[in-house]
Amino acid sequence: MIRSWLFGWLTLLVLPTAIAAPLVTAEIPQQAQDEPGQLLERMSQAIREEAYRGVLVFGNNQEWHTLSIQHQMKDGVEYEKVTHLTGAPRQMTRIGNRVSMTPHPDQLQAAVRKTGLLGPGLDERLPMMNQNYHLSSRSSPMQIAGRPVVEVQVIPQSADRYGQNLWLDRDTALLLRADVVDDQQNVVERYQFAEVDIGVEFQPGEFALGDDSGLGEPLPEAPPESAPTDTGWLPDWLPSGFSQASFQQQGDSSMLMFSDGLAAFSLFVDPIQGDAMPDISNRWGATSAVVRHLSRDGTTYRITLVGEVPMATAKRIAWSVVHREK
Amino acid sequence: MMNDRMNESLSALVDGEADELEIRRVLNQMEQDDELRQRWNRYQLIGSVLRGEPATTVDLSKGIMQALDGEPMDEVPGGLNASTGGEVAATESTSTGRFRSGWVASGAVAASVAFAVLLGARFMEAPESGTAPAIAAVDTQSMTAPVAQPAVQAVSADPSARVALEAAVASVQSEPVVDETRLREAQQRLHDYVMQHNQQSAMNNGRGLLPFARVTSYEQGQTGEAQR
Repeated sequence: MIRSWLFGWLTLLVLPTAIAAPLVTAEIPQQAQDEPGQLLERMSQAIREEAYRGVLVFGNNQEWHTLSIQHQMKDGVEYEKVTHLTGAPRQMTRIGNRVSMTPHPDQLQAAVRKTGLLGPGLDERLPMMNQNYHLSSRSSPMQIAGRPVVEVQVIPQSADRYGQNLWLDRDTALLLRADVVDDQQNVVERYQFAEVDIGVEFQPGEFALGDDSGLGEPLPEAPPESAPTDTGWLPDWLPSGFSQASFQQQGDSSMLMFSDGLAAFSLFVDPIQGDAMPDISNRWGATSAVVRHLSRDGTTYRITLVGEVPMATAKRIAWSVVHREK
Repeated sequence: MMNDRMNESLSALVDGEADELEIRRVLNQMEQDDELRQRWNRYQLIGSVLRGEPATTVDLSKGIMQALDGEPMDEVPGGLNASTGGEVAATESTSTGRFRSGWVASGAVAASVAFAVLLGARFMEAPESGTAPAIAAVDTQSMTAPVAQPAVQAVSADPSARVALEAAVASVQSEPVVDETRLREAQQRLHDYVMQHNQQSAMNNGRGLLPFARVTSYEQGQTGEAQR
């Protein structure tokens, strides 16, 4: 099964490699393996294909969470289970394109229905990540989760987006630590394995679900190509390299996602009843959110921008949103 | 050269509109940045004058950090940073008690935090004013708006300050009244949208679990907040 989320990396990384594939034999030179683009490609594969079990911490200056994760690919199907070890008990299990969440199986399902989790994905018009980010890699003397690593820096070409410092397992290229950093190199969000076993064998039943939570329906497929691509509400300004990646509509509400190949933000527009509410903004780790209101034909519309971009960028995008007649 | 974002954050802190992360960032940066620290001192002075309080250069930053960390407040000696606040002489008589009452009376950050709990976010100004030069952001209105009521009681005899404060109070009172139900609805909707974005993002990129961790952790954070 081709997973749409791979497109972000695939468009840039896999396609050139696929063209070159006949020339590449089993013996890849060490230098090529350490080329940052190639490392990221291997990372993308490892996340999907490796069998691993580990404990990771995730958070920002405000709060930290601990999660346990197990993952394998068997007969071409991905099995994944994420369990919260802090806060309220919570577990997510995914087998292929079926997802279940306990103790609130309805919650994710409802959101999935709304957004179409496996929607159109990042399309081929997506500009190359290379135009927006500079990549560099270096071997690191550090270890993460007790394993030697290689570091890849994804450095934005402008201050209107975050960079990422990634630490990959030297053997398998599994992502062991990711820091989202602002233009001052302050870490706004970190994801890091504390402990990990890679190449583990899982026993049958380790991805089984409790009796009270069957796996949900398969996630919806992409809408037909003739479907509308927007509602006329669009940002007048986008940071360079961002383009539309997906569109969903549910009743009066719409969601447009934009991506530059690494970062993504979504624009939600929905009409509200009554008077305008105050405009607000908030930030959680790398996620910024801006809410403002616009009137059109006697109706007040709520314009919400959510994404992994700095607050100044989120505000600028949100303030540029206008309605264009078709 | 102070960057614009730090400037905005400093203004937000002075206005009592900074969230906790922002406050911590400004205070941390202040330790390394003389220009920022001096500006902070000037802003505090202006605030004191407008509130009719004795001008002081006591640095509130340490107390704020301790309040955020939930530690008991240390004694903060007066004139701690007198050397950097050359415009007005430090009042050596400033005591811990004075500091505490000043902090509580101004209460801007506390009020802002209380409101953030209700709304899950803070009010925002249009970028036109948000991107104005820092010193313009310290106009009397934004300076005093969050503390308008106590400030009026403590208003100084300075007529210009009084006029400014009255204007600030008027602006606060003329703000539309938004009922709590609608605020909660707005908060819930924003929550749903952040979830939707994160889930969509998790399925549309090659970073695997990173955005998914964001989904679930964001939920946890919300749960925790609801329980407080």
